[in-house]
Amino acid sequence: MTCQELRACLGAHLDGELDLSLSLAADEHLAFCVGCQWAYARERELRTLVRTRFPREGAPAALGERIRGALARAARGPRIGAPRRWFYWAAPAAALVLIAVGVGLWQRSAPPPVVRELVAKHAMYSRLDAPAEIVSASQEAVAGWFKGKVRFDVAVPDFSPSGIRLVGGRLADLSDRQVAYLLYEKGRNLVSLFAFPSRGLALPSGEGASGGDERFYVAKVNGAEVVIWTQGPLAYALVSSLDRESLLECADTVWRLVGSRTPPGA
Amino acid sequence: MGSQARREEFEDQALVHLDRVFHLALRLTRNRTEAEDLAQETYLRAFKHFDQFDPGTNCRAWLFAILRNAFLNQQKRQGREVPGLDEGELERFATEMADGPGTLESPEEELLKGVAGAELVAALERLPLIFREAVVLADVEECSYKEIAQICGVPMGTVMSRLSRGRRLLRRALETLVREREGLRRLR
Ligand SMILES: [Zn+2]
Repeated sequence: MTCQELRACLGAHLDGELDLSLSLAADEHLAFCVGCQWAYARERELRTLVRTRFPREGAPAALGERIRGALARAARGPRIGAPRRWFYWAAPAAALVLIAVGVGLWQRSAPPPVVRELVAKHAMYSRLDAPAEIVSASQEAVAGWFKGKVRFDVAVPDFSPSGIRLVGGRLADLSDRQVAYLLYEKGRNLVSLFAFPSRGLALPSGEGASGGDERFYVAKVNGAEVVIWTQGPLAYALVSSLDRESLLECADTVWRLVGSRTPPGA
Repeated sequence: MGSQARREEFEDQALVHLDRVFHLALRLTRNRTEAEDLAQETYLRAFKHFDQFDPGTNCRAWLFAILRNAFLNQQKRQGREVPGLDEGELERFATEMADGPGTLESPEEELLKGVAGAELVAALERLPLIFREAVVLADVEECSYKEIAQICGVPMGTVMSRLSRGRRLLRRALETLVREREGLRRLR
């Protein structure tokens, strides 16, 4: 065995993963080659360092309970292949391909990364069986749950006049910031409302929107409707596969609720 | 098997590995919230396919494989870093990183002695995914090469080369971190 051959299998030798004949050959080489002995010692030291000092964090206590709950619901709930709780638009992979192929054509209207990330989050959570951390139809309970968890005041709007009911809330994140995420549903459609500090984020604006309402940026991304706007220090985003009109109605509700709570000029 | 019994059987076999599953999710996603969701998704998927699990085999490795798949699917959906698309490039990157000047002459054995756990994590997080996962599986989770090959769906030879590159990258990242820390101390 040459030095080069030995160096190539040094780690495997250390891990006891070489077959017997290779392992013997390696030992034989190591017995007389000082350079390789040194390399072997270095490799061993790093491996020991990682094995002994790397912090092996355990799961948070609440996670086990959350998963047990989700499993119980999955066991009780619809069989495999049956419809899920929330509708999820078909073939996201195909949608991605379309975006990639159509990029040249659609460059002008390509949604900013923030928008795509929000839609991806909405899509991911609509596929989870129990995405909410607090499950409650009470606006007060959900708003209270966020206190102390995020550094801003979370307004929990009531969409029930439009037949959209509150499911609950959870924490999420976007780039480097915390997001208060409210989940609503209408039939089997999930409606996601995200609220997060807007400072430093490149957010699209509704300026020059065709159709008139310049408060809101609207787009359709991967089959989902998106409405985004900034109000005071926070940005809000609604994502759903509901139609645009319904979503704009929700946006207007949030706008009025937030407006009524923020003192003018603040 | 009744559905209640099936679930209990699954919880007995699989849920005992929750700490390890969460930890791997944390190292792959590098984000606590995402790691919790990924762990949950892993268990729900595993439960769905529990009949495909061979009770004679290693349940933890089976869960790891499901977790990795779920993670990669998520990444693809979000248009983020996906390994294996251009592995040649990654390997070149790794070789350059690992064989840069300074690897041989400095006595970094001394340097590495004072490394803290948090620095190990920070250094590891600088590695591209395919090397990061190889190092975590081998050195933190102490999986065998055969298990890693199954989890990552690659031949043993690939495991060996990714792991040796991954460890070299980790060493360099650690050296950089330690030097940065030492440099700061001198400045104060
Ligand atoms: Zn040698």
